[in-house]
This record gives sequence, structure tokens and C-alpha cells, in this order.
Amino acid sequence: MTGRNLSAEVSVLADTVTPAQGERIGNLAILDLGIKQATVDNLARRGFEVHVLPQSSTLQDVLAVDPVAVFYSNGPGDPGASDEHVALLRGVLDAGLPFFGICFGNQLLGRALGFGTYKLPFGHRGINQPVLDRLTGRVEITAHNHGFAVDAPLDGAVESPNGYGRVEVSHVDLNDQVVEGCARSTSPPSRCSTTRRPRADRTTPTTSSTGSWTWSSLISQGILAGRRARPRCPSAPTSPASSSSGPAPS
Amino acid sequence: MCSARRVRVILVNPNPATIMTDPDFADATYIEPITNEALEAIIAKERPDAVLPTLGGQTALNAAIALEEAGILDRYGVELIGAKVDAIKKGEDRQIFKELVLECGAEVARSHIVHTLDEALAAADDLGYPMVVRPSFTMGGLGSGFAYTHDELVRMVGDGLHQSPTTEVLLEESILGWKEYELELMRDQADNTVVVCSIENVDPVGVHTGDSITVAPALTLTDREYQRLRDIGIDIIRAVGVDTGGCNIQFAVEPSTGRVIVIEMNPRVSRSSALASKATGFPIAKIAAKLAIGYRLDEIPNDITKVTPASFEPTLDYVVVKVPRFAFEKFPSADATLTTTMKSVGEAMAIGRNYATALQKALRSLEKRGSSFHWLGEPAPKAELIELAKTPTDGRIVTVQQALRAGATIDELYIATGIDPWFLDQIVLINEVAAEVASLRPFDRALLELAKDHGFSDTQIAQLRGLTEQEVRNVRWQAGVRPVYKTVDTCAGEFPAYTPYHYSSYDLETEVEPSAGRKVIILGSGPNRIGQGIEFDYSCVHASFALHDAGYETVMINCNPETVSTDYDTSDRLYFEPLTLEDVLEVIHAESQSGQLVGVIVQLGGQTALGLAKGLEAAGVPILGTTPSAIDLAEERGLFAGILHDAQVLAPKNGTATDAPSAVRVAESIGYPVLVRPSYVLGGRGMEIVYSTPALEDYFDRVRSEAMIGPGSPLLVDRFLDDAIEIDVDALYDGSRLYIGGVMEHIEEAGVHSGDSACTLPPVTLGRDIIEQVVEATRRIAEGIGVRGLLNVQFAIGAGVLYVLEANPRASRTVPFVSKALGIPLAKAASLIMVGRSIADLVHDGLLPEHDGSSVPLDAPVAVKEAVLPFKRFRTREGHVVDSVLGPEMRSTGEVMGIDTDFPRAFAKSQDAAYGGLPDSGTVFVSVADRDKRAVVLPVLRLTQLGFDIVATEGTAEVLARNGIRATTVRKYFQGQVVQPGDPSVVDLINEGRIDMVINTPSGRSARADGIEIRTATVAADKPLFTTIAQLGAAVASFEAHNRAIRVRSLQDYARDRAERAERAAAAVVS
Repeated sequence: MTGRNLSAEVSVLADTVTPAQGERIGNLAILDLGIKQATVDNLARRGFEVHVLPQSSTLQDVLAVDPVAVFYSNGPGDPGASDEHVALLRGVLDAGLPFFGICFGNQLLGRALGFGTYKLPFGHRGINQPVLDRLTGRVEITAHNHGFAVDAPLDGAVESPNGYGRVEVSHVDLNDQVVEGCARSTSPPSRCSTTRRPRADRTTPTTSSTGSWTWSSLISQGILAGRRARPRCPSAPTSPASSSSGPAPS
Repeated sequence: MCSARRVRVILVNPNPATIMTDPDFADATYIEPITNEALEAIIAKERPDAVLPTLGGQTALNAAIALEEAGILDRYGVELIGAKVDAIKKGEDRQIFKELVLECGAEVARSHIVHTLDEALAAADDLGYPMVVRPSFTMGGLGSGFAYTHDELVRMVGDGLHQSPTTEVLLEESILGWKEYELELMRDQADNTVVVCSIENVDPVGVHTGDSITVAPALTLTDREYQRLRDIGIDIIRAVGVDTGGCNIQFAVEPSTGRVIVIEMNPRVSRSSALASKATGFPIAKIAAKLAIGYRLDEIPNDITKVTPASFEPTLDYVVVKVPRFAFEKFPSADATLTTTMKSVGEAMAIGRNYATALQKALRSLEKRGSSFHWLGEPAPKAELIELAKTPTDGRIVTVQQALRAGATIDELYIATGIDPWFLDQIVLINEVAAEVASLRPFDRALLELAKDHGFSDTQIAQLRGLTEQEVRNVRWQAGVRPVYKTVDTCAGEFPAYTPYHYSSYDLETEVEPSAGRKVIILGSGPNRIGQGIEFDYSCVHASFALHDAGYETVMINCNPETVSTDYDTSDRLYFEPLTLEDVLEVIHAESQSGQLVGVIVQLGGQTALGLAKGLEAAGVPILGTTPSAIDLAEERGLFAGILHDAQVLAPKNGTATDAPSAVRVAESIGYPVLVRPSYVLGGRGMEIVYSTPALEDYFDRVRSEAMIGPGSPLLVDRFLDDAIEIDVDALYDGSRLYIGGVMEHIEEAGVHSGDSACTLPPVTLGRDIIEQVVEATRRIAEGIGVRGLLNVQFAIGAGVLYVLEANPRASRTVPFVSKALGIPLAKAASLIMVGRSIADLVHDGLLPEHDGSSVPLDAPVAVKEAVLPFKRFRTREGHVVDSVLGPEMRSTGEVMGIDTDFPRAFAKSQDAAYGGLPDSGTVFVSVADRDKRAVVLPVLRLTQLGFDIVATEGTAEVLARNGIRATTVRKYFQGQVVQPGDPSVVDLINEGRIDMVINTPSGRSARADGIEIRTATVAADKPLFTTIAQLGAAVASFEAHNRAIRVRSLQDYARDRAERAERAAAAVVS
């Protein structure tokens, strides 16, 4: 797998649009690196009009959607071999758009922020990976299926090597201290997103063909780099990014 | 455990048989009754910061509620940790729980809460029959079951209202036949929640989960269904507010629609938690204790991997099957149908790489004739077997297997049993493999591997191929088909495991690490059963600790998940394997691949382990301690008689017989009454007192089906000593020196099984002369047999003459009691003697006290052991409680201990612990057999002086009147008698709660002795019942003690007293 870019083999060839359900938040631009329909459906159910774009899309293509946020999906391949997607992501961040991603998308964010990625000895597989949300101290039992991880420092916030401000590892796998999520640090704390507790997600049907993928895994590995300055983003409950992570846990 | 974090741990438990009440396991260990009075005294003395009630089962939760309600926790400023009273009530109160489940978006069965019979009948109109009846706040589902008719409903609700401490019964829609699941969850103070294990019941809803064959993980759920149960489970543990610790939730899933119903939740560690811990390697109770004192799950390391935290959900790369062990043979009149009231007395667990293997291993772990699948002869007709399989009973799984053999289809059996088709298909698979093994295929490696891969034992293969077990084993070994051992590691090999917890598999690679150590293998005692319970596990665990400390590598083999010996950190290595010759030999083989095998210990694991001694010796395995041929000297009647003769010790006149005619000849020459029993049994199985030749013939008819008697295992016939005092001795012998552990005097006379009799240590009515005789006789017997290790001898004194009843060269049931009462670690010492240490060494090293247990100083405490009897659990087909008179066949399932300065106080504590105490005042009913009339006068007189009112039957009342004791005469109860208003029978009085205590000694010894209705009514009403005058005498002595304030003292305090006494004694010698 090392060194392989497989995104072109799994991505859609043309834009697809799924209308929002319920109260509309806005358009969400998704770069399809191997997305599952369940992810699309879940985001639509949470109020996004979901635009799934081919992996070869340009920044212009993304901006043309007029997105409130940009999302990179999960998918196969070595994140180290996806330079173009990283370049696009940096463009998104430079444009001040909130971003979140899952799995492969998370790893690409790591690269965009200036960190490396590496191949895990066995990978994380299965439905019982304990992940610590370092901000809340909560542990979530999550489903994983990833073979690569971001190589970011675990001991507190650092300056992004690529100049995106203070960033920190927000989620770690407790079994092996592998990075499972990173976020932009903000001061005062106004994170644009939190990951959700998995319990509500578990009821969401999994993609039956690959039973180990659940919504919770997507979210818990997710990252969201929001921009403090962006008026609609900070912690207000109606902000697009926090809404994207669904209703607050009961 | 907790003490790892420098918390002072104070443990209260009146059960002496468990490892838990070992003084080494807590800072202060109180063997005291779990009553408000005793607990308050302990709290006042120890002033704890908190009470943890979620680890001690329902008993502990109820005690916590009682302490809270009595204001005791408030008064002493004690916090309840683990679960608050509020949470306990939410989990246990049906109505509150129902509302809470509905709030979580889940469903419960439609139901009505009733407090009266009228309300119940009204509810029945809504729910329809059958329906479930569940009394609130009872343990093990006591009193619950299905009511199919109006009459059954009336009876069950009546009983249930009585049994429920809140006089409350739940009536519920029937979910019979649904699939049943359990989840074990843990939660910490930060609200992190994990599902440790899912468990699926093979038997559908209708059979108590404790009585059901269960499997972990759940095998017939889709991921989506499993996730739904998980979500509901997590919502419920949060809603109930289990602050920290474990919780068990039971679900029913409708097989065709998938509708999920939450059956119940226990906000505490449960029997299923113990199973889940053994099944996953996740020590639920240990973690729960840490969570209770404030740790979070992610702060606690996983012992097995060391690098990963406890905040995870274990991965199982194997299948675990648990099967229950029943004891219906002990209660012949009991209805053996399995219901929602738990009736099993123990369980065996097995681990395999697939379900078929785990199931077959579990079935053979039961060590019970007929519990494994077989292919002998032609099966019974299909229709008959299907009909039989409709009723859940002990062994239904074998009936199902036979029905499949007889041509029944999976659909037919699914309709008959409700067992999921996947589980049935697995049995079809096992039958197919059996057919393959029995076919004309060459008996080669491939065939053996096929059979072994489906869990077939050598015995089963031998049966199918028409060979002997040994022949199969020889061929198999020659073909090189041997198991490897895999590891229970919680993570399916993702991280290295540091705890060698193994199970066998006919796979390719072994995961047993070689080691260079000197190894001792300890055979455990298998599933708990009546006569062989955790007392034996106590001895095995102690041996493991002592030998480990002495530098040996200890290897434990056992299959009982309810034990400490199967904790992964008790021994250096644990093999969770059936205790059969084949399985044990394979472990020995695997362990012989490295290091040095010193030998195998067979004398601590009860009859299970002892029974393997000969086979192991024949296979060339070194047996430690008393040799198998020496064991035979004690077990074989003729040889033992020779030893007694040489030792100049008397035995009651006796003989042996292999069939009925010879037994009659022997009995007639000895003279009736005689005590008969088969050889090589534990717990008095098949033991009876026989008064006549017809009764003896009847006995043979009854035991014939169990094939317990034959040329290899003759019937032992002894003259029965009426009214004799029985004495039990536990002792150590090293080849030259005898060390008495303790001399115990039974309260009940000879004829009541020693396991069911209360006993006192030290003896309270035996003269020095008798004790000297007992010690001397024990020494000679130990010498004659050639004991190396433990010896238990039972004596009886009849008319001032000492007789030996039997000698057992093994750990006895009383080893833990003696160890705790006198502070003498018998099992530890025995294990060291077995590896060559002398008693002199052990005394020198300070393991054994200088003075043995043959004489106990006057200022030492008195300990009383009392049996806990399960009569209430068993009902006849007509719905009555089974008869509760004590006899030579053991029927108790547990024991408690009372310890105090003198016998009356100690006895009172033992009664409090076993039965919740004796009444202080009220009405006592007395009806005794003629032979007891003389002896009953004094105790009854004392009762009147203490203020009790006496009610008696005519004959007894007459005797009392002539002795100046006023007693109200009440009519006896005869079945079918018309109840006349204003003239209630004694049974009516008992049922109405107007009798507080019953004294009834059976007059006849026939199976239908009169008084049975009186006794069963008493047990059903939960009132104290005395069936021997000896018990009554002890009780009367204790009444006055009972009126004094309770005094509590920890085992550690008693140990300090002993040390001080020893110092004073030493000082006295010097000066």
C-alpha cells in the first residue's frame, strides 16, 4: 500500500448532489476519495446539501459550490502519495473555509498542516478501538479500519509547520497512542467542532458490505480545522461545523 | 485490588469457604452476619469512609438499602460508592425501571405491578395466560415463574407477595421462546462506558440465564442488532445512574420481527459478570472496585497486555460456552423443569476455536454421566424425542442431539424448543462428523483431526470406532495429533499477552511460552455441585500461592468460572480445560515440553481430581503426596478394615455388597438400621439409612438406573449408630508427624450428612479423654494409609465408644473453616508437605503455629459452621416446596460461619447469617417423634421461660403438660382434610404467619414420613425449622446470647490475640 495513490479508482467522475433534510445549514463540499453512501446520507440528514465532487476537483470547483464547509472522505491509499489533494486542502484552509475530514481525509489534513504520515505496523481494525477525546477526557469505543496515521506531536499544541497557527492532537487511540484526530487550537477556546459520542451513531446503519465502517468511526477520526475569524463558525450552536456533528448528546 | 491504592479495605462476609474471607485479602476481614446490627457494629468500630455494595450480589445491595433506610450510613457519615440507593432502586423497582427503559427509547414487556391477589386477577384479564410472575427484590429470580392457569397465578402471587420484601409482584406479558441476550457493561465516573462482553442464551427466554447454556460472544445477531442492544445498554446504565462499576442487562429479541425488550438490569457485578470476566480476560470485579474509588477506565491498565488501558471492549478470537450443573438427583421429588427460577448449583465453562468444540468441551466438563453427546445404539423414536425436547430440563441438549440422530429436522426442533436454528445446525454438524468418524474411512490423521476440530473426546471417538479410549489415544499420539494451547488475551493477538491463560485447540501453533522452572500442576475441582463446592477451590488456590512462594511454577487446570483458581493471576499458568484424563494428560504433555515437572497434586480438588489419580499414575505421571495406592487403602472397604484393625480402632460393624441379595445378607448379619452408600462418592450421593430388608431392596431399585454399584465400586453397608455424636478431624501427616488442624463436633447427631450438619470448633461438649482418643486414632490411620498431606477422618461416639466412620486422604470441605477459625493454613502446609517439606520445617518457618488444633485454649474464640440449604428453590410438580428434613445425603449448597467468645454467641451469629436470625419472641410449634419426647422437655421449658408461647400436637402437648409446660393443642394436618373455620390446622397457622419457629423431628424414616407438610410449609414461610433436638438445644442456648448486643471482631484481631497468647505462653515457659 505504501506509496500508492488509489483515489482515482474509487472516486465519482462527476458531481452528485444530495439535498439537505430538515433545517438547512448550507452546502457541504465533499472531496470523494472513496466515500460511503451512508456518510453522505448522514450528512444530508444533519442539514447539509451534500455536493460530492470528484477527487480531481480544483479549488475553483470547490469554491463554485459555495460551501459552508469542506469535507474530505475516507478512502484507500497512502496519504503520503496524495500531494495534489494536500495542495487542494491547503487552498481550502487558505480560503478560510471550515474543514473536516475522516480517516484518509484526517491524514491529509495532517499533511496540510505540515505533519508527516506513516504506515502502522498492523493498522487499526475492528469495532473496539478506545479513543480519548483529550479536551473532554471522555473515552469513546470506536470502529476503525485504517493502516496509516498522522505523525503529530502528542504533548500539547504546537505551531503548524505550514503556518496555520496553533494546532493540537485532539484524539488519540489509547491502545497505542496513535493520532486519531487533530484540530486547530483557538484562544479563547472556540473550537468549531467536537467529535460526537459514538452511542448515537451506532444506531446509524453501517454500510453493510463493510460492516466495520460506522458513522462513529468517521466522526471520531475526524478533524475539523475551523477559522476563528469566520463569523458563522465559532461555537454558536447554529454554526455549520458544529451542526455537522449532529445534535448534542443527551 | 483496592488495597493496591493504599485504601484500608474492610470486608464483611459470613462465608468461610471463599478465598475472599482469607485474612490476607483485606485489611480487616469480618466473618460476621450481614445484618444491620452486625454491620452497624462494624461501621462503628472501623469508621469507614465508604461502603461498596455492588460486588456482593443481591445480598450486598439489599444490605446497603437496609443500612440507608435505617439511617446508619448517615449516622456514621458513610458514603455509598459504586451505586447510590437511588440507582439500586431504579434498577430493581420494576415500575421505575420500566419508565426508565421507555425513556431510553427501548421497550419492556407489557406489565402490571400488583400488591394484592385481586389486583393480580384484574391484571390477568389484560395480559392473558401464560404470564410471568416476578416478585420484586428477590435473588436468583426466587419465586418467579410462568403462570399458565388461574390456580397457578393465585399460588405464585401468594408466595411472591410473601417473598418480596416490598410485598410487590410484577405480572408481565409472556415472551417465552424469544432469543435471550445479556450485556456486561462498565462505567466510570467520567461517564466512559464500555461493553465488556455479550452473552447469548442457547435456551430461549423461559429458562433462567443461570440454568441456560450460554455462549459468548453472541453468535446469532447481526452487527446492526448487536449495536442496537449496545446502544440501549449504554443508555440504560446512564439513566439508572450506576456511578461506577459493572452492570448486567438482559434482553429478549423476538426472532421473527427483531423487536427488542429489556428484561432486567442488575446495577452490580453478577454471576454473569464472573462468567464474562473469565470469557474475556477482563476482570470486571477488580476493575469495578478501582472505579468505585475514583479511577477512570483509561487510567487502569489492562493486566494482560500491560500497555493498553481498561477502557476498551475485548476482542474474542474463540468461542466460550457455559453449561449449568444441576443436582436434581438430590431432590427426587422436585420438579426438574427449568423455569425462570434458577435451579442449577454450579456451572462449567469451556473455550474453543469454534462453537462445536467449546460446546463439546463444556459438556464433558460437567463430569456427569450422560451429559455429553453420544451415538450409542438406536435413538428413541423421533416423535418421542421431539416431545421430550419441548420441556426444558437438565440435559435437553442431548435429547435434541438424539432427536436429530433420529431424523428430526432443524425446523421441527426449532418449533419444539425455540433454540435458534444456527445452534441446532451446529449439532447437526457434530452428528455429521460423528457419522464420518464411524464410517469405513481409514482411522488416520485426517479423520482424527476432523473429529478433534469439532471437539470430540477420545472417549467419544472410541465409542464411534468400537475401540477403547486408550487405543484411540495411542493411535492419535502416534499420528502426532495433539492440541496446541492458545491464549485468552483480550485483544486477539494484537498486543503481546503477559498472562498465560490458555485453552486447548487442535490448531497449528502453540502460544505456551517455554520456561525452565520446576512445575507443579494442581488439578481443580470442576463445576460446583452439592458436596463439592468452592471449599475445594480454596485449597487449590492456597496450594498455588504456597508453592509459588516456595519457588515452584504453579499450573492450574480447572473449568469452573465461579472460582478464584480460574482467575488468570492466581497461578503462574492457567489452563481452562475439562478435568478428564485426556484433557489433563494433554496439558501435562504440553507442560513437559520445557522445565521440570515435579508432579501433579490431586488431593485438593475433591473427588474430581482424586478420581484421575489412577489414570495419571498409569500414564507415568508423578502424583504428589499420598499415592494412588494409598488412596485406595482408605477408599476400599476391605483394605481400610485392615488398617483400622492394625490401628486398634473400632468401626461400626460393616460389610460390602455388589448386588441386592448380597446386601440383604450383609445387612441382616449386621442388624438394622444400616447406613448404605456407594464407594467413591462425595457429598453422600446415594447414602441412606435403611431400617428393613424391603427398604433395602427398594433402595437398590432406585439406584440401579444410576449404575453406581457394581463389582468395581461395591455398596458399603455400615451398622447405623443411632443418636451418636459425630466428630470431624482435619489433619496433616508428613510420614512421621501428625498435625491436627481441628477437631469439630457436629451439632446434629450421626445420620445427618457432615456437610449439612452444623459443627463447632473447638468442640464444646467433648471430654479431653475423647479428644485424646480421636487424635491418637487419627495418627494411626494416617500412618496406616501412608498419608502425605491432608487427611480427614469422621468419627462417631455411640454410648461412649469411639468409632471411625470413614477416612479421606484428601482436602475436605472443612479445610477453609478450620483455617479461618484457628488460623492454621492447612492447604498451604499440605501442598508443601507434598513437595517434601516436613511439618517440623513448616512449624520452624512459622507457617504452622507451634501448637496444633488438637487443644484450643479456653480464651480462644468458638467458631460454628452452619449449612445453607436450598430447599426453597425446589418445588414438586404440584408446586409444593420439597421436604426439608436432613439426612445422610448432603443437600446444602453453602455454609456460613459464626465466631465469638462462646458457643451460644457463635451459634446465634451462624443462624443470623444463614437464616436471617431466630425470633426473640413469639409462638413456637413443637411436634416430635416419640424417641425425642424425653429430650424435648428441657429446651421447651427454657423457651417458655424466655417468654415464647408453645403450640403442640396432641401427643407432644400431653408430654409437655405432664412436665408442667402449658401448650396450646393444635390439630395435625392431613391432606384432603376439610378446613373447618375456627379450627385451623398447624399448617394453616404456619401459612398465616402465626407461628414463628417450628420444631419437628420426623418419626418414621420412610420417604413419606409424616410432618412433611409442616416442614414444607415452614420452609415456604421462611421460618426457622429444627428437625433435630440437638439443633434445638443449640438454638435455645443462643437465645440469651441473641438478646445481648452483638460484638464484632476481625480475623486479623483474632490472629493478634493468638500471637499474644503464644508470646505469653512462651514467656511463661521461660520464667
